[in-house]
Amino acid sequence: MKTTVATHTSQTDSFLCRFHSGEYQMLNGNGTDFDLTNIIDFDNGIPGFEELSKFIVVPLIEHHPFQVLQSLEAPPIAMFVIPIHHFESKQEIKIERIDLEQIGVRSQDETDIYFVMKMSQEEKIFTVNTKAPIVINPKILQGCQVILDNPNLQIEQPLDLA
Amino acid sequence: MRITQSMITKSLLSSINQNRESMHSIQESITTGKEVERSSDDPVQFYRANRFRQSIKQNEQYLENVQNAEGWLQATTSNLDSMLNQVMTLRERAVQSANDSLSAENRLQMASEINNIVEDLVSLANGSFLNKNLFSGTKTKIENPFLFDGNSIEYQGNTGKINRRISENFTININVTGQDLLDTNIFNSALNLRTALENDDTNEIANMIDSIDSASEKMISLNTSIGSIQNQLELAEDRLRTANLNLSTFISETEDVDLASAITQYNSEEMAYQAALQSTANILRLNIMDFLK
Repeated sequence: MKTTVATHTSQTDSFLCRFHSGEYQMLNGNGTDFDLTNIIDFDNGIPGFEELSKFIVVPLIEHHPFQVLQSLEAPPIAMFVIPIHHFESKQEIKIERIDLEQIGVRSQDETDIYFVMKMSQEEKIFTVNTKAPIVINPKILQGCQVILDNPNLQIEQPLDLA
Repeated sequence: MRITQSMITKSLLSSINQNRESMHSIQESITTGKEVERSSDDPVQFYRANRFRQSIKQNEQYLENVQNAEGWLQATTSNLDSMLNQVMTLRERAVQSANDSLSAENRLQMASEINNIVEDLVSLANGSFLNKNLFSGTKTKIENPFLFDGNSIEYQGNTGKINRRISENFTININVTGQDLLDTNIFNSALNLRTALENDDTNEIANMIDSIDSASEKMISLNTSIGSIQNQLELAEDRLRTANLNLSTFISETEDVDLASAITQYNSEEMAYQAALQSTANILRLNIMDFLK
């Protein structure tokens, strides 16, 4: 099922501007396609939301490269994510084999990897959690959030677009 | 079960009513500007918001436990390192004094140096973190877990385990007890070396080199197991912080739902309502002729 939900949002509003104003929920709109054929199973949930397992990744077309990881079981739960190749990182992101096996892949190249973004309310800056990327196997639609064992990675690393 | 026309109609009508209800509640949240206002508004979401807030608090408590445990283990491993350094010195002295060219008097001097090392070892074994003894089991408030009267060492602590809860269903043992230290035989080896030096007994001194080696191996293995607990704690800390970060993105979104998104949602609900109305009209239009086609 593929539905397009039309909304009337101001085209002039920048993503940053809207994010800053606390307007997080652009999930129902922005001319974004909700592709419900690609529901990703997070069998073990993700840290904090252990009991939720169904998510979709919604690209924000107007706000490329940002995307939204949207829970289908609890609609208010949505996290802004960014594909790692759009993020400038000096650190290598290496997913352990045991974590890759969890989602049925042998090599990291077969996965889509995202960082979860956060906006610091006080400083009005974006940070990304490079320590715990969301890893998805797009073939069988299995995902997990792994914790990497690299002490140089940070949970709140300032956002630096590639 | 056979699906009859009336069942279809019934379920369609009830879905229309559900849409009406939800439109009503959204309209209300547009007026009030706050989505989760009453528990009856959206009980599931209210329950979730509450529970996630509690989770954050709980995780913060676990984080404190983890950080406290990390401090404790840091102090433990640093004391063990210092003890290991003393054991190295002990071994060097043992090797030196096993040399035949030394006089009995030299060895007597060496014995008093060994005595100082024993005192240092005891004082390290009496180390504490935040006013709690590191190596006395669960009796963490004794003045000196290890007493050295010049001849022998007495351990006053117990073999109790100190555990820290680092998640809902996971606790981790963080202490090395005084008994663990005694079991490495480090104190006895040192005291026996001292006696052998006092007695100018080179055979016994040579024996003590092996004994010291085996003690230092056991000390190293204690330190290694602490290293692995530290790794587990770091992982737990990262996981807790990630969980709270994930949870906080949700909380901030639920608490102050903005008008624009509520309006957006209202629009899509309205579309669903219209769609439901239309499909009802289509189905109800079915008559006997349709079935005969």
